[in-house]
Amino acid sequence: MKCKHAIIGAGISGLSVAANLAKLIGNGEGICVFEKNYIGSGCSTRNAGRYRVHFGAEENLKFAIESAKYLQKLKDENKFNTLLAKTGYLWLIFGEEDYKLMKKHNEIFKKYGVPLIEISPEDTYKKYPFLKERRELIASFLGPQNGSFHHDAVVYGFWKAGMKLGVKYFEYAEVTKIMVDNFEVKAIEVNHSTTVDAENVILSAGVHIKTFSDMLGLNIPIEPVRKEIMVTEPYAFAIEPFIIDTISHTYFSQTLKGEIIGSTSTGKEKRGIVELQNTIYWLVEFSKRMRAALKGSENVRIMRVWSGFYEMTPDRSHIVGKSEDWPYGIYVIGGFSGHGFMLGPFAGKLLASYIHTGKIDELIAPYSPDRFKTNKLINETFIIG
Amino acid sequence: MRCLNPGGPLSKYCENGFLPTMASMKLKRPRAPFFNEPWCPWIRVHGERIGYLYDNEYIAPKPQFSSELMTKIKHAFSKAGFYHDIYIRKPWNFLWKVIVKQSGMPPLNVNTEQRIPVTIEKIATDLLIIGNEPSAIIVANEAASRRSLSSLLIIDKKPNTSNQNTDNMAKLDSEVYVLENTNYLGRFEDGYLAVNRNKRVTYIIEAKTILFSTGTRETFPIFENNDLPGIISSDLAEELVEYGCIKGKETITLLARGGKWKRTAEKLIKINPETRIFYFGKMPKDVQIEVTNINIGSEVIAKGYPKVNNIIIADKSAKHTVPTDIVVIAMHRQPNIEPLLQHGLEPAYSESLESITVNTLPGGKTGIEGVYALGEVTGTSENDLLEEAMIASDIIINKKIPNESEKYRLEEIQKNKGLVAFKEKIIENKPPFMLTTSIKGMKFVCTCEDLTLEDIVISYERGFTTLEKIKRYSALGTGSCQGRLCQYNVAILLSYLKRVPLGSLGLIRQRPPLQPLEMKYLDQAL
Repeated sequence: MKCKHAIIGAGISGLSVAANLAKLIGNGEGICVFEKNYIGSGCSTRNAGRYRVHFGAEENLKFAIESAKYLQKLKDENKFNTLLAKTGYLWLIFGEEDYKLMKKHNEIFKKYGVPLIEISPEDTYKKYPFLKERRELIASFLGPQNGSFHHDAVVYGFWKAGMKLGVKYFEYAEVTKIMVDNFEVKAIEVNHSTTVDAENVILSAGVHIKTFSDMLGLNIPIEPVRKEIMVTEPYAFAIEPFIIDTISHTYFSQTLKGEIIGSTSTGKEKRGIVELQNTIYWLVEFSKRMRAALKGSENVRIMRVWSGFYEMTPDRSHIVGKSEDWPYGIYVIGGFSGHGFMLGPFAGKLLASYIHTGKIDELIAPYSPDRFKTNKLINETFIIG
Repeated sequence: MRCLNPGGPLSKYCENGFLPTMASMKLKRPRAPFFNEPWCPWIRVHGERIGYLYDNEYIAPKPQFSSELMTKIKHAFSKAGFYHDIYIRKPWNFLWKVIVKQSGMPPLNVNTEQRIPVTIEKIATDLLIIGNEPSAIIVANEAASRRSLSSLLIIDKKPNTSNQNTDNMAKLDSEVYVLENTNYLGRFEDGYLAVNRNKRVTYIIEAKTILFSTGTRETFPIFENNDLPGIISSDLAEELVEYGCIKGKETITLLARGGKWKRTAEKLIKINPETRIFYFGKMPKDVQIEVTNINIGSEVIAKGYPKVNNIIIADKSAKHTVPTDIVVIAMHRQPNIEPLLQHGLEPAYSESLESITVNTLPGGKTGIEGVYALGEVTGTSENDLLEEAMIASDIIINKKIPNESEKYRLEEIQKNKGLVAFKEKIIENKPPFMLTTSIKGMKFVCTCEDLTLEDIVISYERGFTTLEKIKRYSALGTGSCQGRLCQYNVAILLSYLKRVPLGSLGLIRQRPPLQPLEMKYLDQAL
């Protein structure tokens, strides 16, 4: 069997690369997506389904602004609704230090045309009456440019779009080896048995990028961190923005269906490719923090908990492209450090263009894996969770 | 969950005649509980504030449901995946606000509640037993009588017995360490979770060995307007009769088939001798009760709005139109396998139960170290229950090596379960809970998300050919019951309609908590 472009991992990044590459070429011939489990079974369908433009590092800010525009166009491009809504993000700021920092960031946001709106504590509680009043609140900052979407819908949109163009998808097909000869990718091995000839291999396997990196000595610095998340029974839609309760590292909102979705960082998260389980410890911590933040949370029933990974990099920014030290034909798209679903689709589009034309867009160039050896790091501080 | 005391919330609700407790999410259909369980979606009561029928406070339900005509119109425009249709997709940027406002869900109560004290208790035990089947009781008694290990039994309700012989055997010894009225919430990485709402205690349990014997429940039947208030499971009906919530003044119709119908019938007839019984399929011998026999392949239609007032049952030979206040379903049993699936057991199909259960080995073994499963939940025949539990408890607790005759008996008992591989099984016969001949109409498969049989078939035909994919496309199984009312039915129905193996469809991953849990039971110091 032969696949010119073998994409490893049917998560949002891999699916975006596949669909966009097929679009550029004109058809999906030679584009194959290999997924160890089922399409979207990884972190792509485990996240809270939010996107924002506001980032600390200017490269990320520029990238996210363009990425948001692309997310908004997706429903028409893929002809599959993404259920995107500009529901906003609301940062609740406590403490003078954080307040000064937020104002400093906002100056840069203003420069790029995406200013946050500062709201007084009094107005915050008036506008968002579900928030518990706390004396320590100094201000809240609303980012109306941000919003939510249905992660499953975005995943399926790319899947269907790629399928229409002839992209092939293989589920329960684990790539077990990448065969390199003469410093060039020659083939991949699937499920320890089938050999597929390939020219390009795109590593879009989320935390498992690390597995391939170790296998081939690619030095891709990804550290998985397991995060837990929960969803409640549905209520009438009231919590529109994504609330970031910075004092407790807790964040929550409502889906359009009405479930309250949220998480918190306890500092005790497990690292590495660990089993995606849940802990009572997290459940208790989360409930405590929600009681302090949301009115009426006492009788809100938690319906389901699950977990996923943040793929953290040393500078907390994504890694896209290829390295001059790697065998020819290997590309990577990953390390999104907790903002993978919102940036993955656009990063996938730019990578597809890079693969097809050989020319690297200036928006994606800074994310090269080589930046870690040249120390041109993109230090991201605006991490939620 | 003891909420059926006279004067309690559930009994008061029944006194008012099975009125709707909530409106459904998408279509705003009137809904009322089919089960008396904390995970049953319509146990939530939409009144001045959201309450639950197991709370000690009674809140008068005031759900805002739509007219029947309106629900039919909405249904026509909101089939599975409707938001991808071009006339919804194009104006989505503003249309979402309109659609979101249509939800039947109640508002979040933001009036600050008074904080009630809740305790978190930690327990360590050698053997944890979950369930109220006779098998669970037998093992618990045996463990308590031997002092070689510590054990703990968690029961949510009274033991369920259908067989005269098992009644005496299923009496709990006073020595047993038991937590009654306690709900098992699942396995976490750092312990097992359980809650007793009456006592306001949350339990975190550490156990070396766990045994599940969680029994079965009524399967949600598929027919026109099967979602109407007044249509209840045999489980709920029996509890309501036992606690005097159904007085006998109501008109009752029982749809019956299979194993447990007789017990339900006898209880209903006792309080109302006029109870009309329809038995589907070949009549069993020696039935003293008066029933109307109906052929398999019949059509059932419920009528009435906002609660059922008529049931029409038609087969090739006759059409019965029966005015009725209550419709009790005693047709098919689904094993309560959610705790077992969550623990990592694989599904299997039981030919004897005609249901999806879990894969087990003889003597309650599961293939997972330290995890056992016994009783009806695994497909064990009623006649084998006692013997299986007796032999297995000896092996599990006393580490007895079974002799040849015991080994033989366990193999026979295992054979009687009729387990076949989930991967290969194609449902050949019409599912016993499918009481219709057509796919279209208001035949609800998932009441939590207002999905009909047609929605599921549409999803499948659009390329979403596994339950996990259908879930992501249509929201199947994402409500309060987390798939209990829908997912097994969907797997069996699609296997039957599309002639595909159950294994190709799969099931939806079970995650904790195994029933929705109020945050107030968790926000304490650990």
